[in-house]
Amino acid sequence: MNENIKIAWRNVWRNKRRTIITASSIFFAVFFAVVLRSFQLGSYDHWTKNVIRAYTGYAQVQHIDFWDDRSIENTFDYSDELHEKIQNNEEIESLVPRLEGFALGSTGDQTKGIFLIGTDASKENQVTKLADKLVRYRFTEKNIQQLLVQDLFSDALKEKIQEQKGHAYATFERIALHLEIEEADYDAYKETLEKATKYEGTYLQANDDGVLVASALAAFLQIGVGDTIVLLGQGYQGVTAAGKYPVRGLLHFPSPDLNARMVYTNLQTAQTFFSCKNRISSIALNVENTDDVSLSKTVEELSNSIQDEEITVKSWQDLNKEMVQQIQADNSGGILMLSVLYLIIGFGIFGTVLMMSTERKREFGVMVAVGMQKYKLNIILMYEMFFISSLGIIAGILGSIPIILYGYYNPIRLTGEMAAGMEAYGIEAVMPMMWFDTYILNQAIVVFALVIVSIVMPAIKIAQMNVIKAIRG
Amino acid sequence: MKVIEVKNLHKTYDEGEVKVEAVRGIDLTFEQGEFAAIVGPSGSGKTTFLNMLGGLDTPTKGEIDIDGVKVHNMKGSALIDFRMKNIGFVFQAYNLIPVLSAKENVEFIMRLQKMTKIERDTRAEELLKAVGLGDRMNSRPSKLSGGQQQRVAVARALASKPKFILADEPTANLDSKSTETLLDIMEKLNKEENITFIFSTHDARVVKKARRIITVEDGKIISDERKS
Repeated sequence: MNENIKIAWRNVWRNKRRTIITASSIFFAVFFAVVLRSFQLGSYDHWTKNVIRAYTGYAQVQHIDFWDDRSIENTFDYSDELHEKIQNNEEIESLVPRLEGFALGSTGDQTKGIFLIGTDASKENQVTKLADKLVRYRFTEKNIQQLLVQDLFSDALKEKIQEQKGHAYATFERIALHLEIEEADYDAYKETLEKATKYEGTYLQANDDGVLVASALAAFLQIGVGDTIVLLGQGYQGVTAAGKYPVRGLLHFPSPDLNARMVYTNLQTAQTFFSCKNRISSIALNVENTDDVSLSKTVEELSNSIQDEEITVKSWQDLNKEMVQQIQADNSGGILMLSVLYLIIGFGIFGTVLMMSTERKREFGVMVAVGMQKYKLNIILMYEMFFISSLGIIAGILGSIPIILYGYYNPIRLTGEMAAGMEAYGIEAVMPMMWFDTYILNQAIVVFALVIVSIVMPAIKIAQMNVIKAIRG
Repeated sequence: MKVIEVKNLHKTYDEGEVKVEAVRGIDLTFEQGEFAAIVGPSGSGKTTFLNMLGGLDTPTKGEIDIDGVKVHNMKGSALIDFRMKNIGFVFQAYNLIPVLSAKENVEFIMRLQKMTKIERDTRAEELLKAVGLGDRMNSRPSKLSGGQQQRVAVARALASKPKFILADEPTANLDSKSTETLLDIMEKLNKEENITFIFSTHDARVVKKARRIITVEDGKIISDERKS
């Protein structure tokens, strides 16, 4: 073994209590930093994936003015050549052409402004998992009454069930969330609630001329599966757009805004309705490598290959600037908090290094007197701090692994106002933890950087050490 | 053969307004195989003189020539390197590295000199046996008595095959028995292997053993006697 390493390792255990205290402080700092970062980054990942899956995809090819003015006039020709140019990019996993525009939706006496999206239903499902939003449970006056007569439910739960009138859900978990049923009690209520509220709808088939209607909009228009909705609007270049379409199913969006106005149909049906054959307003893209660097490279490559003044390519960050800014602000807050934590730990490390070098001043003096170069003393000191900090870092990371694993597979389900707030943004109200990634390594790098900074002053002191004074102590 | 030649050596400490002249014009020569003691009262300048001989302190004026090398002109890492290759030190407080065993302490300088493992092992064992510690090679300093630690320090000083050994009050912390043992060992090494020893001391027992006694007072040599 290298002599310097041997001396350093033995010095580390010369004062066991100090080594354990210093390593413990690093352990707690790394442990909390990793867990906090995992929560924070997990939440951001969850938010962005929700937004990406809800609508935007990882990137979109759009008419250059579409994002600012979602008019049917801001559409472009969806040629085979354009399709091929996009498809030929190796990073593109799937793509969904869409035609989007505003219209009025009407049934009987009820009329409301709606947002119609014509899409390739099967591809749309690949990008945004639209089929998962299909309503499978719906609370109507009739089934609420059926539930209220059952002894199974407490009075508080019955009160909550009554509040659900008109609400629709795609999964039982969301019913449980809104009824505030704990996960441990799922089995007790699941069968009864599912049986009473079950709602049959089907996803759009190829060449289907039907529509999928958002659940709150359906409740307002008082329509359900099998009913017909009349759509009226302005088509391409001022043509009147009108048509009636059978409802195939209802969709539930977490965002109340989307839930109150979205209508989906097949692309051809929408093109016929808006009288713009072969025109589309955007193409949502799913990419192979989703990290920021790869995505921005893909966006650049697509922009270069398409070369059309009318068309632009935007990443999900460009399409969700507000959310990106919110994440950046929140992330900065988190980093600031961790900085304070590390600053405190940094002083602890500095104190240890200073003590370790000061109390061995005579020893250092003797080593230099007999012929050891001063820089080698710094190397020994560096090894010592590397050992102590490594102990803390490894223990901190190992300690955080079970928590990350648990938090990743069992995300915290939020309730109350916080949950409502997240749902208003169309984000599922859960807080998952981030899977193991570079953020763990970053904590180790930060601690090692602190060690290096802490060692500067003792290193200068060693370099300036007067051997005679040091030996005299 | 001349090992050390000192010419007109001065050392002045500048302590604010007061200037302290610790060494005032020493001229001295040491031959190979000497067993010399520098004696004098506290504050006479003997330790300062010894520190300058060992390259631990720099003279204000004068020359130190060790085996043809002008040590007074050397600085920094070159001086550290010179010490490692040419000078052995024995300190009053032993000053062994506490985390290393007796053998590892002796090997320490040989490692700095980049000797092979076999060379180090053989020499460290030989030296520790020579100072009567063949059975305590793996003991850490804390498990050794003061006398034993000082014997390890002598073995360490010899390990680098230095041109001479400087020992600053080597017996100051030892009892009579340990002192006697240590002096016998050093005398034996001096006689049998012609190793040069230079002590600074107050100890009459060391003075008695020394074959040359240099008395220093107020930074000057007042006598330089050789025993027959």
